[in-house]
Amino acid sequence: MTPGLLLSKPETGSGTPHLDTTSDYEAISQRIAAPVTQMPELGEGGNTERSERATSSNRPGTGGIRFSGATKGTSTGMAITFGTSSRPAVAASARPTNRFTSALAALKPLALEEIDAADEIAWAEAAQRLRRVAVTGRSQAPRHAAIALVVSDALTFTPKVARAPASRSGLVAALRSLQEPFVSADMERTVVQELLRGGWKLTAPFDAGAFAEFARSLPK
Amino acid sequence: MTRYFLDTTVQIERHAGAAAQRQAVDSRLVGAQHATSLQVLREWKRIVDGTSVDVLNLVRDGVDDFRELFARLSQGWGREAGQRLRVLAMLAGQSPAVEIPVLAARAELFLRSESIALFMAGLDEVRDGGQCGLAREVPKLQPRGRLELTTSCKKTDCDCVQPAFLEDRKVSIAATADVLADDNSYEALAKNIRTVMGKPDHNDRKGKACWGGHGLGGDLSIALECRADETLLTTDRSFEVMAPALSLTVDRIAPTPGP
Repeated sequence: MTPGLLLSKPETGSGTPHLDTTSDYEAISQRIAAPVTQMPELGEGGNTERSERATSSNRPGTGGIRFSGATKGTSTGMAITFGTSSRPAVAASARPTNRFTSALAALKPLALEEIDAADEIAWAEAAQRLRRVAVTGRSQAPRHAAIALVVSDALTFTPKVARAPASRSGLVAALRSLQEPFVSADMERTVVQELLRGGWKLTAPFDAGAFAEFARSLPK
Repeated sequence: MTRYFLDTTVQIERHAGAAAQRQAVDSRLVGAQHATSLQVLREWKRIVDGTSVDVLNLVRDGVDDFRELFARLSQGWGREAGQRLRVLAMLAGQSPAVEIPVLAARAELFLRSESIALFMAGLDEVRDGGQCGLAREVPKLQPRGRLELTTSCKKTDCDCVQPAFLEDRKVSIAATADVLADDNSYEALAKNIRTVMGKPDHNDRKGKACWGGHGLGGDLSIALECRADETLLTTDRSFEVMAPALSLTVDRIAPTPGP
């Protein structure tokens, strides 16, 4: 049993004791994050944190997409530019992939509101590219892959009518994180929280029909 | 603006429910912050984090076919099996054609950050009257690489103040047992509550008596932390039955129908 270290003790006496929230939530999240970062990569036996550090020099984001602080304005005052430099002396298998670059390129105009919320093709394309990055990048850069996946989910599962009013700050945070050499637990958590705060749906509605049909197709 | 107190069923519905149920919850929660309790988090972890752990362990064991995952995880019956199925569907993105690496990546993400973020979305208060130790549990890596999440405790080793919390509210609890006993569906629960609260050793209110199926019932522990100025939002009828004894206002929505 884990000792109760996280939350403040309730008030004594009458009334319902309660805790307030931000610090407790952070504490809970950190406690959740800590052990799981020690989880080995499935099928590889590596340590996630170690694995991520080990690949920090060949992380996907080093292929030339960078924040410049230049002109293209966003609500956060941030600017994004694309460059072309790549690092030498990185093993071929670990080089930033075209797939990753392509996913970022698809995400950028959505994050910066350069593409209309009604442009189904652009949203679907970005979601698909990010999902592919999530699968292929999972063993080398698990938190980059996780952010790609959660953004892909947000783009896929948020109804079209909810996209326009949704805040893009979560997408911007994701874009920024994906270009960092090391994605910390805090950064990953921030992206998830920003997306939820911004009104994005990270899960899809239960499709009873699809699963009923699927269950019927299983051998007895 | 109504301030809601969310129970576990509604927490599940708003993220893993059918479209109508999600809409029903979202429309109530929009524009304000709401509350819940650590007892709800305890149940959420058992269902959502527990299913994520099971998925990752099965994948680690070599299961690479969603049909087999589904068959193994949907075993059992009753509400909990249905909730686990809904979580599995959520992790699969509602597609039985999901690629296993995507499913596993989502399960990892849930355990690291998404599960608690979904739980906390739109809430500004999590009450902790009993200082539940189970709600604080996190998945731990076992020597052979499997994950384990503790979802039960023994009265001799659990770390909480639930007995004192219940003792402070024994009059309300007795009244709740009375109203539950008048309803055919909850007679057994009323009997269990009276049995547990009647034991001379207050530590007998801990452990399985707290979280188990034949003890006080999680719903009672949850309901005790809903404030009078809040509306308890649920799909579970038991709260409506308890409401008069605890001066609760309850808003019950229809649950997601099973597949």
